Amino acid sequence: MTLILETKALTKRFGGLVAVNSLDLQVEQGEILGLIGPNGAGKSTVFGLISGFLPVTSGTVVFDGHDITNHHPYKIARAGIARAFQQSLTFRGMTVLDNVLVGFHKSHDASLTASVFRTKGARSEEKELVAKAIEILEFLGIAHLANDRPENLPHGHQKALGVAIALASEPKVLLLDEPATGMNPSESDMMISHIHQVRKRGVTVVVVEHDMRVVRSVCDRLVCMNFGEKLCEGDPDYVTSHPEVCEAYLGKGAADVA
Amino acid sequence: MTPSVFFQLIFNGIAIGLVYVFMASGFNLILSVTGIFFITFGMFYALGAYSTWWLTVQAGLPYFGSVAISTVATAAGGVFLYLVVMRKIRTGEQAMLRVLIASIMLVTLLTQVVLHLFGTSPRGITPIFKGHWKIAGVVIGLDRVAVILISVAILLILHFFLSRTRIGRGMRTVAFNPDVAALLGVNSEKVFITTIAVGLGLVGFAGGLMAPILGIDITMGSAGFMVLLVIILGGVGSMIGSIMSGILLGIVLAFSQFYVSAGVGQIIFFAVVGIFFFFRPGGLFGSPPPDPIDGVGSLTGSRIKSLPGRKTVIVPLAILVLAIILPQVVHNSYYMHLMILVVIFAVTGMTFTFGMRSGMINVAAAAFWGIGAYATGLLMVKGGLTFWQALPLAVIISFVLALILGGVICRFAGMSGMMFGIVFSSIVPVAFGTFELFGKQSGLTGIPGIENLGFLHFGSKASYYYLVLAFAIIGMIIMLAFTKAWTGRSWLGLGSSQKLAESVGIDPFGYRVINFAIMSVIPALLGTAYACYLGAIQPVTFGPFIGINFQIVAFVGGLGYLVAGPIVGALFMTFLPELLRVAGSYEPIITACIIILVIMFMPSGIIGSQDARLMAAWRWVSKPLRRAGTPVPVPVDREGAK
Repeated sequence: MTLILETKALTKRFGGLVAVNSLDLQVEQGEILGLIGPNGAGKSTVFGLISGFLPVTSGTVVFDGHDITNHHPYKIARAGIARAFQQSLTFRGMTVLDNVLVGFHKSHDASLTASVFRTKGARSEEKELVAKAIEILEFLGIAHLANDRPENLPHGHQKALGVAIALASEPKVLLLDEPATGMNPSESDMMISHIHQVRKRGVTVVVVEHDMRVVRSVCDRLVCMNFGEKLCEGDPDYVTSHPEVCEAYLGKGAADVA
Repeated sequence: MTPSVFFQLIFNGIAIGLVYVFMASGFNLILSVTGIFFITFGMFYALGAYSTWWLTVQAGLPYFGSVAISTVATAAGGVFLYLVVMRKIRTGEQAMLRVLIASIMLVTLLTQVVLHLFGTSPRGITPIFKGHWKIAGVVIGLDRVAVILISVAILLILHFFLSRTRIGRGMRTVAFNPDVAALLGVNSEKVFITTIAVGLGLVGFAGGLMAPILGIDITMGSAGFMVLLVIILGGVGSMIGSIMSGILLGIVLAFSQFYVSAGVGQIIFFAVVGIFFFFRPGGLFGSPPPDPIDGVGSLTGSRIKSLPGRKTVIVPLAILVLAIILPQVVHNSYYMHLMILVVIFAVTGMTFTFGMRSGMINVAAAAFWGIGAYATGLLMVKGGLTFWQALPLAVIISFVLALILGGVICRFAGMSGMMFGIVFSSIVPVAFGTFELFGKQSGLTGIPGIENLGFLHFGSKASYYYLVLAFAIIGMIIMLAFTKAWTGRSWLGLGSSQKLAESVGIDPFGYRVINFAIMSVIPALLGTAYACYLGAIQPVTFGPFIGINFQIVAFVGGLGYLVAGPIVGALFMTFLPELLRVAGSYEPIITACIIILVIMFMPSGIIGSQDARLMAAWRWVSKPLRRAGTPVPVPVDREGAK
């Protein structure tokens, strides 16, 4: 078991509010880790801190043995952490295929000069990337939409495209922020199988999700947060039946009823 | 410097600075509450001054009554423009850019209106407060004391209005979050109208108040550009920031006017703000504003494509052949001049579209056009070089300047970056007009023509046309090559969503600086030939109101079309004024109105609005011509079967 991503005493304050309080999070290579907790628990903030979009107040983020705390987001992305955003963020105004090709940004081997002069090498690389992009789109079941615009796609497909863009950057760790939110059961079934397949590609996945059906069916391990702190962690059955977790979601006394 | 001189300059600076305080407060209020980039406010300052002059001198009203009437009139005028123009374009596709172009066109329009109404000569009003005190060698003019006291009173009233009254609180709520304000039952339309009235009333009031001290002339409208620096320094949405940095600007101007010249003062202030801004994007007091510019690159409804296949060379080839044949058919020298302008406008407009794809609203093209021209002119006239020796040097100089400026602007590509670019475009002509080296206002004269190079002979208009065309094609090829390369895709990603682009490893700063350098060096390249073509260049040729034409060119043609859009736009912008010649001196007013109408009613430009029809026509025409193109590889739909 090797740790690929780790936070040590990670803390984030917004003015007086402590959004994340001294969080120690360990992500093992190849696992699917679920991060759950009630609204406002600080889950998305943790993603923001890991990926560099929010400045860390104190504590460290270690990725693959390197300290990446407060690095610029693009450097963290190049190091190998990709992120699919909660609000199904895509590149509007470009085709679905181009969206994925932008994601391949860091895997260009051809130099800028080669690319500008469209040398043979650059052109064949371009062809390879298009083939790879279509492969990723096929993998997520949206290849038939390659020439459409993301803003015209239904919600589920937009979410899938978000994952496709993130995958194109060939990450070691993928952070999925509420991938199944707002989906109907058949769409979220699709997402569940996608997440399983992403892991088969050798990508470690950390997922924030409210849909417990999705969480139970994809995650190897869960960490539950409340008020910016880690409440408990362990395998899904243990965490979801933990009295403190029920209390955090449903309020005091609910655990006894359940 | 004696202490008395020092204090005298401080005193004078505070009085001048109050103009900037009022203008910055008015603009800042409008920007932070309504989100409208109402740069037209500079003209409202002039309007306030002119109407006060008319009411006191021509109509014989008492001074304070005139100021009051002018204030109300400017406020009403602003509300009128808001209701007619801004309300329609402040939301929707490319709102930010459309507001910017429309408000600068309104400056042009109002300038013409003022000239028609009040004449071209500078005006003055006899001061109401005469006499002065002398304290320890410092002359304290009563008029200035009155201005300071009145200003403090007005600012206190404004503060009270914003913090205590119902509508003032409504304004602050809308500024904080318009959606929440709407949920709380704040009528945003009413708030917007009040904000515009208060903001522009303040500006008009400043015009009337300062008229007896500073005099009145039409260049007052350009003061708006310096005010942007005040806002960058003070922070968007910060009242106290506007006050402090406005007074600071006044003091800097007072000192530099005394020791060197006002132009140098503006340049110094610009440089200081640039350096400051590089390290602290939020300004002195405000927090960094939310970025309304994020996403300008996402042009919905346009046909941006970076995919292989589906290429057609027929249309560009036909245009090129036409462009080459044209001088052989047209011998009229005036029309040749217009064609040279069309080529310059088309390729410079293209640089705008090019920059916009990476999410930058480039406003500095005219300035770099001027830098290229002045660098060439100087190297040839004072350095004694030939054109072909001066050309590479001028391009290198422009490129280095573009990298420096790009470094500042791209560090925070966004609202402040755009404002800084606008100020740069107005500072460059000021610099040309200030220093002896550049020949001051009369410019550089006696720039020799281009020497013959081998079999290339220069002299006729047609030869210059071909040179400009060649440079334009080089520029176009550079831009297209970078657009087709992977840089192009990364720029598009940045322009569409910076956050998502960063999350896949795209460095926003580095990519934007490259983009900025390319799009700035191309106008400079055209400027080198233009200097020799004209033989004499003046600062006004490269001012911000010329620069706005490049953006209009890009917009009018259609922002989604990198090549065709600016060509159509350039033809439109060059020949529209020619067609309107019959209107005589009303021509600029009609042209400005037509452009504003295009901006209001054709958000995707001339080509964009006719896209479907053009495509159908093209398909019909090209049917027999089309090669068996390689269609985009779309795999068979496996999921779609169910």
